[in-house]
Amino acid sequence: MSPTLLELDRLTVQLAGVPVVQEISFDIRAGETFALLGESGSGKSMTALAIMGLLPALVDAVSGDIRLQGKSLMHLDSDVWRSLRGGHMGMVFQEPMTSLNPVMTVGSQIEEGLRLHRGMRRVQSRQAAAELLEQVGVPDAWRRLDEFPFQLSGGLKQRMMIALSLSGNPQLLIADEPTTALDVTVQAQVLALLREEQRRRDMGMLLITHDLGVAWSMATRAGILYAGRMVEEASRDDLFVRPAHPYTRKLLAALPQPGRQRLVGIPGSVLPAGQPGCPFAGRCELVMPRCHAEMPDWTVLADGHRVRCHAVGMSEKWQVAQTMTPAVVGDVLVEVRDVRVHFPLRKQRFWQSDRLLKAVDGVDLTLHAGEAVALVGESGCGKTTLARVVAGLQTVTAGEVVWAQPFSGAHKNLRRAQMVFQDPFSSLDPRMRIDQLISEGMQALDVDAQTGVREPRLQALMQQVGLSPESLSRYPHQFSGGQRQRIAIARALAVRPALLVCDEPTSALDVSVQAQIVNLLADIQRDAGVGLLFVTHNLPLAAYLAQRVLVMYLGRIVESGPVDLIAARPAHPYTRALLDAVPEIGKPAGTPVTGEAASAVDPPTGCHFHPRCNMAKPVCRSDAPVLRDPGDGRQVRCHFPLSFTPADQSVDIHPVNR
Amino acid sequence: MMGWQPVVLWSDAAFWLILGLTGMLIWRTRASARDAWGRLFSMPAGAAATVVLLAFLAVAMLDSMHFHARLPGVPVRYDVTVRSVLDVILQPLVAVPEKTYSAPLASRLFTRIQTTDAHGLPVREFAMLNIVRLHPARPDLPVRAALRSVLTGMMVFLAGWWLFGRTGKQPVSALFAMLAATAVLVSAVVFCVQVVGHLHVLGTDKVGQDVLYEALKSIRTDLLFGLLATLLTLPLGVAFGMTSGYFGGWLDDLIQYVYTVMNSIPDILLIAAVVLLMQGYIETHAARFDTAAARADIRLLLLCLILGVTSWTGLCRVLRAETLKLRELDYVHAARAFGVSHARVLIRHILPNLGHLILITLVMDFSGLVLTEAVLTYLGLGVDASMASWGNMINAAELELARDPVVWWPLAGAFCLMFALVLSANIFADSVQIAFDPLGRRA
Repeated sequence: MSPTLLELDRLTVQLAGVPVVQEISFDIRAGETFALLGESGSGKSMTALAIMGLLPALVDAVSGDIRLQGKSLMHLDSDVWRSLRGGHMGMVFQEPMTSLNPVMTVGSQIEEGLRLHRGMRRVQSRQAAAELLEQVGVPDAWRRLDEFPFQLSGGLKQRMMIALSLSGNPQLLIADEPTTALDVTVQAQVLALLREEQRRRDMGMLLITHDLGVAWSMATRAGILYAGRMVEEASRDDLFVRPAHPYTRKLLAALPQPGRQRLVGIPGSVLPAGQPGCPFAGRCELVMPRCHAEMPDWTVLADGHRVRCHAVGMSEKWQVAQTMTPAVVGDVLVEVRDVRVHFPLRKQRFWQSDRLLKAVDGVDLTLHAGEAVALVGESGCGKTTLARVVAGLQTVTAGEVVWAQPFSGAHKNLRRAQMVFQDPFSSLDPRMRIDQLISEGMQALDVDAQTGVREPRLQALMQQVGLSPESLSRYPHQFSGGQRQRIAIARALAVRPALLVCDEPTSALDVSVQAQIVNLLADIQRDAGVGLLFVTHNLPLAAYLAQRVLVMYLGRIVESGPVDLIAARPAHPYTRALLDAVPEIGKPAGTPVTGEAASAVDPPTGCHFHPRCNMAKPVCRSDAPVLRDPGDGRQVRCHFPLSFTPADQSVDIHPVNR
Repeated sequence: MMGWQPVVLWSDAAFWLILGLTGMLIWRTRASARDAWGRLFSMPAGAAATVVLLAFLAVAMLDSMHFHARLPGVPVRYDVTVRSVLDVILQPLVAVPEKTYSAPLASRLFTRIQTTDAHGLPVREFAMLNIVRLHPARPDLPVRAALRSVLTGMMVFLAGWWLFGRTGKQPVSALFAMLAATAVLVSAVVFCVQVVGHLHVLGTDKVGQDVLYEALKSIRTDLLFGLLATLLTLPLGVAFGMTSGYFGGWLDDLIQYVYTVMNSIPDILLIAAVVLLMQGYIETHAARFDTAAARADIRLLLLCLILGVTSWTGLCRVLRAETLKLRELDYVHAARAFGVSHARVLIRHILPNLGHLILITLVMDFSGLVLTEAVLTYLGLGVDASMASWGNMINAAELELARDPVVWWPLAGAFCLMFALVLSANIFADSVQIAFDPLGRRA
């Protein structure tokens, strides 16, 4: 067994008197990946900062011990820290846009680390930087050295960041949500790169993530953090197959997976750290009186599998799957006919012709009443623009949006579709009370706006989205992210729209809260008969919620059809690549699709996907395929649609369905 | 028959209008803003700054009630000089003029003057002050007055503590700060009341006028100057900044063009030109401005106007940038999805979220403008020389500081009051911003 690299011994970090990290202990060996899993606010980033000695000045007390190769990292001089950071430990941050200095070339940033930690001279360091870039899979490495971060795509930037953190030959790599800001195909590439570099260098890695799939695909061992405490620690397989803590079980049950009837949301939200007793007691179904009084101690279940719970061995009732009302799909609600949205870009030279960003380039789409349709694709594919066209927020360059039934009222177009936005923190005006926010649309469109009607309606809306009517007189900042998203949904429903356009409504939320919102949207669709147009990059979520899926690539729909068909047997190579790239529990990591989506300003000739397609033939380069039906009720834009089922080697270990 | 005839100068009208509108705004929003005001008075710095500002405001208000006094005799005639209520209150300060400089609380002049001794022979000596000759007092008067005023201040403090401390509405620190500020103000007033009539508290200036009187009279000039010019920038800056940022396109280009041009003209040149034009206008229309006060007054107003018209660009630029950010936020899109009109989006969503920026920029502008008054007056472009203002006092100080020994008290008097006003305005604005932020941030 390889020697222990990093040891955390009862690490406690207090921020303004509140312990944000409480008695966390784990260790990492060389060549091992330890995943620290937790929702926002669970203290996982604070743990990483403590290990790197980068705790913010607000921290007023740190206790416990951190040992790197047996040497304590507490109370070190800043010179020692500087040689440790970058030299013995490297860190990859979440946001590649802000973690590289925008006014320095990438080369000079990497060379800086090489000269500092490996004592290289200028000529040597340039050579070494180029080699490092080649190692992390940056094509054309010598030329890239002289480029600035803004000239690189998000995936390349994260590769640069990894090269930067590897420049000091660290024994320990700390990756703090390294792929959260990336598209799913790029995420798969970056994760593969991290795995490969770790194996080659025999590094220890601390992976901090909220994504259970990412943890599964990367980790050898994992720990679950909740409200600043570690509640369960185990090897990957033990944790995902035999979860012992109620919180772990619920997290796993909250993931959308094929065949799952209804997601298990965890009621309530994370309490602030520092309360006596088990922090999960308020949301736990197995709660006993002693849970509120004392924090349970560690129970060792098997070798390396330990859990902090009083109710070890008990199981919950919710394992009985709840069934959902089947969706009733009605008549055609709206037809989008050959819509194009082109944004003109500023010319660089005045003799150049106008350049156009073709965000949406000829899309036909039919939505039915009460139907849930998912719009899937990577960032920049035009899915949000298309959603905004349907919601009436974006004017079209060509084509039309035709609504089936005429609606009455002055603002008749606006009553048909309403929007729920991605970020519940920017979609609610912080200076308005909840009742003002919700009734704004009712007044503007004159829906139930009369006094005497409005109040009961507001209360009913709050009930519908699962909030108490007292919330109406409060301000948005008094609510958590999930509650804010409920308010945003109530605001959209207030004007009785026929269609709810949701732009990534859960991507800013934690897994447990995401499940609540997804369930709420499903209820609204099925019980109230409101249609859903659901924009997402999360294919499993789309597959769970929608009846139909549309896959977009560079402004065009490349595949559309019933969800079961597309999720199980994708016909377009791109859809397949997307499905393969999703890190799912129980699925072995495959070879990710190469490259990143081209710019919509200058799309490739022929089939837009051909540069990344491993089945591309000469005809794909010259002729653009049209949407056609391969004979099973779907539409595919490919010259050579896949007719076989994808190799399905996934291990069936869905703990909840067991 | 009344003993006086009211006079409403243009600047009085403007001042009372501003006060009235502000008062109405506070009254209208009293229910929704009760918590916010409570928060303001629970911040030590905010509460103390409010007290100081209210004192300044009270002086300015007293000084903005003007009248002609009735002259004795029949038929009824009125004095041509315009006096204010403050002048009446401060009458003891100016009742006995001196010959020239005297230091604060001194009993003799600061310089030798030609006078005659007991035998009628001419001598040059530090003559005794007129006020001391006419109203002699015990030599330990300043000490006794200081003791009494400190005692009074402490009593006020203790009384306030006993009265309000039990209600528990305010945190102890805020109550302490507020009462301390009040006590300091009260003891200063008590001290002056006792000493005035026997000594000159802040000494006298070159022509023997009481410096305290001048410094107090300057409060109205500078407060009004700052308020009026700032409030003139407000509608221009807010309207142009918001439309420019929100609508973009050619409107944005146009507004940016205008403010870039405005910014590239040196303000001083523009002001000098306007002052010259104004003087010409006043001379050709002498009949309309029959009193010296009216002439000084119209000059002040026009200065405010020209400063207001030239200095909205800073506010406009800040608001444009913020609006550019706000208009892309989802809640603005959400409002547009409901078909809310552009005007309503601007008023309901953009304007309230610009509030903190507007407030901060306005107060910084206010402080800057009070200081600008001093600079402009120093250059001879500012308010009329007959009008008391800190700028005029500082202007005179140029020569006084070159003397040996130095005549420091007029400058010190102007400086202290100006400092107190600008500082408390800044603290007040910070506190108001924190208090009115619905997020309740304390940073």
